Amino acid sequence: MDRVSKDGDTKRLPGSKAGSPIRAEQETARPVKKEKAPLWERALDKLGFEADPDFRMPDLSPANIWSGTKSAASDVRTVMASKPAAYDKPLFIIIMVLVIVGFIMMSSASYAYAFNQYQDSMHFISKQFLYTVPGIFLMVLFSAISPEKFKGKSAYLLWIFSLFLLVLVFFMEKKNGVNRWIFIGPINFQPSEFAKFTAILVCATYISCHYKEINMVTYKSQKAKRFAAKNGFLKWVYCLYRSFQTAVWPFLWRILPILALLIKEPHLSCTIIILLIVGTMMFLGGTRWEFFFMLFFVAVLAVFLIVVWGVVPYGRTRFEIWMDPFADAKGDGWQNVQSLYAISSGGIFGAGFGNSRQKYMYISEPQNDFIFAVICEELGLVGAIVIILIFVAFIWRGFALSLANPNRFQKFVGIGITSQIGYQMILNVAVVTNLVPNTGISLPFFSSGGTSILMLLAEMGVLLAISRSSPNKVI
Amino acid sequence: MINVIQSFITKYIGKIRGYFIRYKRLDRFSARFSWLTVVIAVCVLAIIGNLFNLMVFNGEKNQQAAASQQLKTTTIPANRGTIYDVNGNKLVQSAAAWVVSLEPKTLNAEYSAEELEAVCHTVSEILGMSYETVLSRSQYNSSIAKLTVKADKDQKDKLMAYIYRDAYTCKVQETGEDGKKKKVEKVFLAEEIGSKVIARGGDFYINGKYIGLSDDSEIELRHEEKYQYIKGIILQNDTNRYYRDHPIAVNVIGYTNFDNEGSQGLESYYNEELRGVDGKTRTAKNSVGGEMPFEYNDSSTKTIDGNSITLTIDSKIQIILEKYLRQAVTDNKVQNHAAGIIMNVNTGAVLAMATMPDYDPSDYQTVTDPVALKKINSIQDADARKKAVIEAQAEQWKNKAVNDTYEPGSVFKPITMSSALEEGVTKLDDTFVCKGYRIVGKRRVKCAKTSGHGKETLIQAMMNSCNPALMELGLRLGVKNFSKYFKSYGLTAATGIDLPGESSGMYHPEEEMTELDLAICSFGQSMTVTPIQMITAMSAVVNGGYLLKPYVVEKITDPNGNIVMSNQKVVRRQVISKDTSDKMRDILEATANKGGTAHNVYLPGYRIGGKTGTSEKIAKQANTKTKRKLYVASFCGIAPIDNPEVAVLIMLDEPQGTRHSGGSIAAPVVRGIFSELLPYLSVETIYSEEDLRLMDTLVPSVTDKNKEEAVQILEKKGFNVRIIGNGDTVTAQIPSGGKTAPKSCTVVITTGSDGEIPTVTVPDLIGLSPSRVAYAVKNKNLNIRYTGTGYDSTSGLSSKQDPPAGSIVEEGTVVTVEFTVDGIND
Repeated sequence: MDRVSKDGDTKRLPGSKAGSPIRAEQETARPVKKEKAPLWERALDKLGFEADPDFRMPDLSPANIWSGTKSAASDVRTVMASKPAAYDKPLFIIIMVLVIVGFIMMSSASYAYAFNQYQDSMHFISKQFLYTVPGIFLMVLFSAISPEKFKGKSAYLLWIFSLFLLVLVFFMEKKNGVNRWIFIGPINFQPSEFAKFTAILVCATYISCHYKEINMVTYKSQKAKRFAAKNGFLKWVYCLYRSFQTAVWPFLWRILPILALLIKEPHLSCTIIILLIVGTMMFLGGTRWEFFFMLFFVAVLAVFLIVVWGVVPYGRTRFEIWMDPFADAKGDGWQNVQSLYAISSGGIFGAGFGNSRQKYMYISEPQNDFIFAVICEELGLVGAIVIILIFVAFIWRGFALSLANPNRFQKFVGIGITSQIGYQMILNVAVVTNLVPNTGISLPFFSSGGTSILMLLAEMGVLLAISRSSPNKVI
Repeated sequence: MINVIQSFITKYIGKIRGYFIRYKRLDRFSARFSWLTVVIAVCVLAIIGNLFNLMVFNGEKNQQAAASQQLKTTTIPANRGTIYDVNGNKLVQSAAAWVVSLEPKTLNAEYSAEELEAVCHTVSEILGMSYETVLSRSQYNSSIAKLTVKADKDQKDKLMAYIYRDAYTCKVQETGEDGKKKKVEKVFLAEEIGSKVIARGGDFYINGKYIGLSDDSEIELRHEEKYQYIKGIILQNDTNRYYRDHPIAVNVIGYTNFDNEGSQGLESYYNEELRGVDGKTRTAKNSVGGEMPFEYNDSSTKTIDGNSITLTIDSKIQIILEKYLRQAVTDNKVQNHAAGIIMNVNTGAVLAMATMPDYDPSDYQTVTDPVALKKINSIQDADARKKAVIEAQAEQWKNKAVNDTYEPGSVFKPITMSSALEEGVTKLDDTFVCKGYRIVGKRRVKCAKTSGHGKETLIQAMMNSCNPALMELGLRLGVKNFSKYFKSYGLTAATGIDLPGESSGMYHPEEEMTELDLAICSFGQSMTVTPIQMITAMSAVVNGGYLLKPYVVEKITDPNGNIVMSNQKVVRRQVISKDTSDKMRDILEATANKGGTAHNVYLPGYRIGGKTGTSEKIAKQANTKTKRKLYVASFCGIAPIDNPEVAVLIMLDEPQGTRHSGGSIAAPVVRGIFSELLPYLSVETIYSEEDLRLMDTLVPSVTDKNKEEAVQILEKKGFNVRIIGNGDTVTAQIPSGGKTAPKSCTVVITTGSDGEIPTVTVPDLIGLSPSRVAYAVKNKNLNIRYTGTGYDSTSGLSSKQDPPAGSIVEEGTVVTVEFTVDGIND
């Protein structure tokens, strides 16, 4: 029970430690470069990014993360005191690589389908381009805004606005049988993408303001303290009760309205992603393990209900398809089967860029949920792994920067955004490879979707802004 | 060893313990974050591992499945080569056709029994097939059941219009009986619902009327102009054989089967040449069936059309042969098909070759032979009937001239005689005595004329077709020499003609041949030959002794017209000297002239040689009851005999008419053939006085002329004149002006307006002697035109007449009566 009373990281900050001796050695041994900076650095300079001559890649080896985290915070303090940091260049580069590669692959994957559906090969490409360009401006804009601006009141205002939008979709016309879009003239907007971001903001706000309460149980009264002191079990029960009040319920009421509206839409994939993001934030925020075990059992029960009783329409069928997509390869299993065909057709080196055959109306929506199958077919195992590794690099960088950020709100917003990208990537690839049942999750930066790319780039702007406040000298 | 393992374990246990200790020291956030890292790492590793599994280790199956669904192999069928006759007339050619097949599984899955019946009914109507056939094919236990390979464009268009419709389709979610929700494809025919179709959200309106689909259905309405409304019917492009309106040389050319592969005859023999190479293009198709912009050059092959064949067969000659042979088969009730060959004696080129009754190559399974049909229809048991049909089919597809053997009988006699002449065991002025039989060893071998021919010369022996004389020649030759010439004439081996399934006859091998065998063989019994062997040997007898290789294909040309292969005259060997051959020609001409057994082949103006043959068949089991003997009547004619050009062999197997001898029934067929063939070949005619007297001349028109003047004109032409009426000008005449009539005719003319030519009934003139016919005709004031042979001797018998008995004609009309020499024992 001793962990209950721990007060997060504040108590444990040694404060005096500033990097290991080895690192110090390295720093001194390193000659200061005074030559002309490389081209890409100068290019970034022009874009308004400060090139730091002392910049070097942070040590992100697992061992360092594993063992060095406890000293990370202290490093952070030192850095904060020293100098306002620049944008994190590696993160920016990774984002731009994802956006460009994503756009190129989306173009390749979509044109055949677009031509078949709309007699216009450029249908998705031009649309995506029209959203990506303002998206990049939005990213630059958000990266210049201090993330602190999203904290507190503004977070709740955005949250209320997203709820409003989520209600508004039900007054809009249905498309493909679902209420998912808001149509304003030629523009259509998907509020669920926005809702993800606001959920991250409100949860991060709560964590940053109530970190102590989440992590430490306080007795409400002396009576309660006496009650809990009777024996270990009662103390545990009381702890759970208090912890639920401070570490579960506040999250629940912040996301439940969003989830309810999303299920009504219905938009199952977004619901799952929000659950995962908020769950991760709660987990890192310090919510007790017991709730996650409970959540696990609830999830098992839910799967059982869906599969055996068929509570959710489509649930059982989807489960059956997942178990054996080839049983009904021409019918319900079509999507999964065609996706598997495409992936296997890729082989090690792929058919070459633009040479996917499965994208010719075999893969359903090759520009969207199943774009990864097209990537596998065109770029092969090598290309697919490279793309996964770019995502991993992003996740790594995003987490590292979030961790290094001394501001807890920014830290958790960073974790939320990074984990959103990570979960979407993992789930998308898992769906496409039939590892998990089909839920319709898009692959960030790759899948076509105006709102999606716009929101993603805005979030990337926020992440870059967070990276500014993260020390890039340390770690 | 154990130490190593121990130290290893302790080392790593220590390391792992180290991690645990470090973990314990972490603050809560960091500890939790390390958990998150582990979870994400496991997930990433899992998806990468799965990708390895799908793309490297276990991807082959999916890869193939993807390729097979994407690749569409289109076969561009090669055009089968055309078959031309020697003059370049198309006998058989290929043209586009469509293969229609059913997919029984799809049909039965898609349609209920009644619906299926309706579909089958429509399809059978379009294709002109029987409904039962289509229905039974639809129940086949296979993925594809072919209906026809030769649907023409019209049928194809009709079928397409039936299968593909203008329709609206949409996928709709429906709750099935079991409570499951399913996606169902709904189809609305455009013709049924009109044009106003609105699908909005989950609602569906047609012509403003709500169709009422569930609210949560996903509607994506598609207008498909060519929606496959009827499923389970496949149309494929192909080629098909097209024949002349009245196919000729059917048994020589053969037919192509269901798969457009040559199955009989030349189609089968030259299948590889004719077939060509089907082109294959492998195109990638998208899910909707359209083409993908990928090329599969590696696996596509070019279409190479088949080579064309030019035959030595001349369609005009073939038509002549078939006309007479077909007539002979019906006239003589031939039970076991008849064969005919016309061959160029100097080159071995077959000018015509026929088997009768023939069949329709585009409907080759239907049995056409009335004899076989009668037999089949009398069988009650279905299985036995089926078997009989199969047998009859095999029989009708045979090319009897090449595939069947028979005992040549007396037609063989020139072979023996020429051998004897060549060996010098006999001379032209040799004499023989026929007692009606000859004793060979202990056996008494009879002559056809049991009373005997008496004393006769060598030529007379052939004219009489005398067996004892030929036996004498055979015995003089001896086994060794006889066998030598027998082999030399190519009768022991197939001729090598370029036709499939050529057989070769049975014969007595030299070492086993007894004297009796030799004697019997000398007049063509107890051994068998094929008609093509026989005519080849006969050609050698008359063409100077050269045994040729018969052939039916003149050349093979590729689609660009280059000659791939051409056949030329191949002399296999010289069997007899030119001198012997000259003598044989004289002998054969004498045989075909007056007094010879082959006289029925006589044609005024032409010099024809020939030999008749009648061989007795060993009675079949079925015919033992009737005790009726079975014969093969044959005739081999050569014309012109002084400078041989063509040989004609006719073989009638089992004639059951009133007469059965080759001289009576086969020779007139050959005469008929020659009567058309020789003018076609522009053989020069030289008429004897007798011929000229009987020949037709043009009757001058004398109507509207003065009576005296008319008589003068007609008499000047050699006609007799009979005048009816007593006017001065001629008003009518029979035979009328411009027609031809024999010179000895009496022309009836009427004068004045009251004169009318009286009508008479034509009497029955068949089966009468020439004198009685002449009397009957004279009696009715009719004119007679003699055709055939034997009208100038007592042995002649009328066999045909025109106009037929009982028809009413005007007096003076020319009645054509055909005579044949009767009572021929050959």
